[in-house]
Amino acid sequence: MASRVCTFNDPVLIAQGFHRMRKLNVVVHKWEVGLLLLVSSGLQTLCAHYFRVALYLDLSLILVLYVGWYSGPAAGAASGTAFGLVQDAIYRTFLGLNGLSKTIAGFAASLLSKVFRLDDLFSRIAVIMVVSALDSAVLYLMLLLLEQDIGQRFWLDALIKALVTGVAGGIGSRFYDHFKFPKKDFRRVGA
Amino acid sequence: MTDFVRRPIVALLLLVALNIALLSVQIRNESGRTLLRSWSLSVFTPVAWGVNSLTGGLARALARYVFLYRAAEERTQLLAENGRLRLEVTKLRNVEQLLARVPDYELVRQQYDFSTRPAAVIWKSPPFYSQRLLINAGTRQGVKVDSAVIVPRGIVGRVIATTPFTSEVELITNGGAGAGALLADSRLEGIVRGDGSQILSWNYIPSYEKAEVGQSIYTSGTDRIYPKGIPIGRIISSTKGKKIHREIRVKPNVDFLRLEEVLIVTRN
Repeated sequence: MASRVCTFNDPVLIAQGFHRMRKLNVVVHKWEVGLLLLVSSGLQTLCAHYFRVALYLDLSLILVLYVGWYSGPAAGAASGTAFGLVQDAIYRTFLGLNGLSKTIAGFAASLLSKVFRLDDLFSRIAVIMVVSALDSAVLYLMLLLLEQDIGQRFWLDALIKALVTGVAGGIGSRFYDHFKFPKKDFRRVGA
Repeated sequence: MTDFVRRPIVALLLLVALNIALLSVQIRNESGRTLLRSWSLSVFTPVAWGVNSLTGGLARALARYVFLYRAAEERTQLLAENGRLRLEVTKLRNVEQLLARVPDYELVRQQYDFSTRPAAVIWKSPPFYSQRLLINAGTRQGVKVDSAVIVPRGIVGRVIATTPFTSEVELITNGGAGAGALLADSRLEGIVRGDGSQILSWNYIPSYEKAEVGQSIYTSGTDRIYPKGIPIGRIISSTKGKKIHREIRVKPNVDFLRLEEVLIVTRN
């Protein structure tokens, strides 16, 4: 099913009962965010030390977007700061570099979830790819502002990261949703 | 208040500010200062500039058009001073001609030859906080970090940070600030240091040397910041210490609480 741009104020969707989607905004609990943070930290630490190619998959970004989709913009931004700072600590970069970009990503994800339908795979992949590119752009700007060295392959790496993160994030978040809401039939949300 | 903080955009701005603050305290610029300090100086400069322009303009207008009752008296004083300085210049020219015949004259001349650039003090830190000034001359005017800042009566301090149009000056009285110094009469050399008060201490003078109250001390030029021969102050107490050095206190010639204009040494 192709993704479709719509809003909660769309009368057609309201007539179809789309407003029920609002209920999803309360499904991510604080303990769950903490658990995700712990698991992602462990995985990223392992990857940073033993399997650096896997760092093209930005696990923190996927989790920040996931939390952002199912919570308000403030919670999305706060989870972005938490995930980003942990990522900075693991990668041994300046504390706040990923913290800043992930904060903006979490905030943007929450806003996007209010505007776009993100219940099908392709729209999720597309949104994750776009936000991943935004995340790289914020990182690039900050590195420029802070007068730090930027690798020649920065944008190529950013592109690969966006593709890998987009595909893995789209599939992974759908899988996690099915695991979390086993009885939910996403094809019949609007019915 | 809680509702205000919970607003999404406020939360975003607070978190972004937190991350930027974290970044700026970790990263240092070429002169070793944290970016937070450099940024705050850049942000604060226009404010200080604006306030100074406003108050300075008002004070100048009042002095120029309203308070003229002392103009005649000042004119008489200036004419007398001008005559005295003319005589002094003639005398110094004669001394210079005499010295030109001495070997190593060029070396001596280089030590005393420096150019200055005037600048106005546009902001002073509270005395209880840190002994710093902001002046309205920066890198565009040739000011660099570690440029000496003086007034005709004596040394003021050194530049510790610059922006294109302003510079931050650390006063010689600040804790940790120092300058090479020598006694005018005996050429005895030591180091004057500030401790945050309005009085300096003159260190590393052996107990057996004479350093009496009332004697003047000048910069020695050995610190490579201040040119040689600039007055620093007068000795106000000199006692034999418990160790091998004297304990000497020096009152600076400059009244740091009333500084309005300074000279920056741009070539030494």
